[in-house]
Amino acid sequence: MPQKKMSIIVAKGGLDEIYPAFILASGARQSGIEANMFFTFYGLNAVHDQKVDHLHVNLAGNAANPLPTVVAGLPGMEAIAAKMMTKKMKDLDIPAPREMLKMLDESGVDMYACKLAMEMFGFGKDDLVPQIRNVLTVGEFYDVSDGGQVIFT
Amino acid sequence: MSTASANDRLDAVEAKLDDISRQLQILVDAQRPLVELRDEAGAMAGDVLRTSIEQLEFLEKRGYFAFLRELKYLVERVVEDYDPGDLHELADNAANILDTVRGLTQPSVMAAARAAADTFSSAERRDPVGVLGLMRAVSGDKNVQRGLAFGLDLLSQVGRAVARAPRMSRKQLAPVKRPQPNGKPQPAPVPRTPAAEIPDDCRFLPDAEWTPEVAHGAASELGLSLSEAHMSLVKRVRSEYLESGSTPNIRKITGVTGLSTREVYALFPQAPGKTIARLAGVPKPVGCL
Repeated sequence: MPQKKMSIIVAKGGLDEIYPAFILASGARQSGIEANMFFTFYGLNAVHDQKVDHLHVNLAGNAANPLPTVVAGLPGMEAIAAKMMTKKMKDLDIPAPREMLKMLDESGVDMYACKLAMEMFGFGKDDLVPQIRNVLTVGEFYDVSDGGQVIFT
Repeated sequence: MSTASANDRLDAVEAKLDDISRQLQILVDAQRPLVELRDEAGAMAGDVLRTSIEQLEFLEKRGYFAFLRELKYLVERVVEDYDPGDLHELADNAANILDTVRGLTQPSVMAAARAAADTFSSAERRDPVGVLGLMRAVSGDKNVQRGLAFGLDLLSQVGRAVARAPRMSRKQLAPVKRPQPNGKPQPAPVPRTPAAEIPDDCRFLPDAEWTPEVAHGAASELGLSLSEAHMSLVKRVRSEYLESGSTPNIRKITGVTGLSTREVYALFPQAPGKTIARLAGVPKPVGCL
């Protein structure tokens, strides 16, 4: 294997923004590569027990989104888009975020949350899904990711 | 020799001379118009030649020959670029073309074109118009409204013609390519490194070649020893492939075997999907999950 360890930082919490990180981590494990995930800022939504099942798709300010920004900004549009994307993923047999987290954990991906962001949002470790192994400071994250590559998504 | 016979001979000679003289007269008579013609024609031909040369000189000065030389080049271009079929089509459309030209040269059309040309010549003196100016003109100026109506009508007609027209192929529309001996040399293609090779150590083994011993052999190459649990998983993946024609990925494996992802990774900690496929003698699984 050319690469032995990947550490993926997830800083955004849109449905469309967390899946690339999930797929990278799961793919690393399937290729025999060690994988860590570090959730920070809005990425914490993806591991928050109350929010992980209600993630939205980021529509406004997204140039690749076919909807005009004026329309995309209307209330409820992101929920509709999230519903459509969730259905599409279900058709393709892609696991929902909560199931994905469980799968990643079982395949050996170590997942961590950012201490500073947790304090900012007022989250405690009990608010997060059980797959989060620990709450780390940035220095501790560097210890965990030492010797591998870091990807920021 | 008798006198009588001598006279007879003289008569005969005289008669012959008369005959010859008559014929000569005829010849001379016949010659006269030719000579007259030569005299007159000589004078005339000189005139004609002189006039012609003057005329040609005049034409040369007016540039007609230069024009004809260019015309020859034009004809050559036409002959090079178009085949007889094209000209045939042109002939078929000649009536259309003439109709169009006639329509375009009607006095009313010419007047409109003249008005447009006058507008162009005075365009420099116009103040720029913004969106508000446009709206004011559209809402207030009857002439602009009439022009707008005409423009819309024109667009509609053109659109109808476009819809009716047979689609021209890309080849028909492409400009004719000519070899350019003095043209710029074509740039060399950008050198590209070959695409990275994706290693594939999994390959399909037919039933004749695959036995559990093959799987054990491949496992020992990878430093694994296969338990019953390993073997049943390997066999399950092989039979799934033989049934469906595609190697199951880990998500599919957990779905069909009831094993959890954790258990699959516990059996094959390093790249389980690919490892199982290799041991089972089937292609590696496709997909990202």
